[in-house]
Amino acid sequence: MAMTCEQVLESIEAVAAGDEPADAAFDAHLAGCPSCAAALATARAIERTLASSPAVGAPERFSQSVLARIRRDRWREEQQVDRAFHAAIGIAIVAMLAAAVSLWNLSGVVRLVLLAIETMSEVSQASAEPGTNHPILALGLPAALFATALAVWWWAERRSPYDAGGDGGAQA
Amino acid sequence: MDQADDEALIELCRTGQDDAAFAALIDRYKDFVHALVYRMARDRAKVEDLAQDVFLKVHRGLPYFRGDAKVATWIYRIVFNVCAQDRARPRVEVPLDREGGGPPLDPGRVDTAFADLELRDRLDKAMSELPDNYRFLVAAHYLRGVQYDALAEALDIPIGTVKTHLHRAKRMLREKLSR
Repeated sequence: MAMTCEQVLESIEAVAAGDEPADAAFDAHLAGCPSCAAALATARAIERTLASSPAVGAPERFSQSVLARIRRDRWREEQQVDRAFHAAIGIAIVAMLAAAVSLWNLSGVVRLVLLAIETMSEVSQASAEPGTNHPILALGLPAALFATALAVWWWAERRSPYDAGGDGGAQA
Repeated sequence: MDQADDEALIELCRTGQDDAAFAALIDRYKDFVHALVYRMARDRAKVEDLAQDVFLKVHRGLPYFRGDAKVATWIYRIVFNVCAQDRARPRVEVPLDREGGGPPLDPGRVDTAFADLELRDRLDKAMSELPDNYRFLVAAHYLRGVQYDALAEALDIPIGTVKTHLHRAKRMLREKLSR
C-alpha cells in the first residue's frame, strides 16, 4: 500500500535512528518524492552529528572547586549557628542583669534571702499568680535561654560533615 | 559505572569524616555531568558553575538518598533539574538565524567536513530552542548512549514515552534546520 508524505515523515526519525526498518512502501515513496528523501537525509545527518558530537569533559581542577564550595557552604552554615548561639547568650546575659536589677531594693540581700526562703517553701505549690515578680520567673527565663544556647552549641558541634540539611531538590 | 561500587561510595560519603569519598564520587561522574550540562545549558559560560551546582545538590541530598534509583539515574535527574531551573530564569533571546550559518541545509553536501561543522553549529542553536525535557533526552541519549530505561526513570515517564519524545525532539530539530 502506498504511503503518503505525512506517513513517511511521521516515521523518518525512527528509520534514521534504526529503531524502525524502512519497508518497501517507505522506500517506494522515497524513490518518487525528493522532499521526503531530503528529509530522511537530513534526519540521518542529524543522527550522525548527534552521535559524533564531542563530550566536553570537566576542567582539571573541577573536583577541588566543588569541594571548596562545599566547605564554604558548610562554613557559612556554621557561622549562622554561631550567630544564633551568640545572640542567645547575649539575650540571656541581658535578661539576667535585668532580673538582678529588678530584685535589688533597699532591703537588699536580706530581702533576697527571705524571698529565696519563701520560694523554697512554696516550691511544691502552684506557679506564681500573674503579675507577681517571682524570683523563679525572673531567674528561670534567663536560665532557660542560657540552657537553650548551650543546647544549640552542643547540637552544632555534634553534627557530622554531611548533615548539611535540605534535600537539595534531589531525593531518590 | 558499577552500581554496587556507586552504592558503596555513597555509604562512605555518608559515614566518612573527610571529603575523600565524595571526591571519588565527583571524579567518577564529573566528565559525564559536565558534558551533559554543556549540552543542556543555554549559556556556555555557566556550564562549570551549573555542573558544580549539580554536585552540591548531590552532596546535600546524600542523607536523603534511599537507593530506590540507581546513583547514575539520581544524578541525571539532578542535572535535569539544575538545568531546567537555570533555563527558567529570565534570558536574553538569541534568535535562531542563519547569520554565519549559510544557506538552507543541502543534504547533498552533508558529507563534507565544512557542512558537518556548519550542521553541528546550527544543531547546537536548534537544541537550545527545544523544551527542557526533549533537550535532556537528546543530550543524554547521544552523550554516552544513556539507555531508554535510565532516561525513563530519571524523568519518571514510561519507556514508550521516552522513545516518542526522542523522535519528536529530532523531528523538531529537523524542521528547524530545514527552515
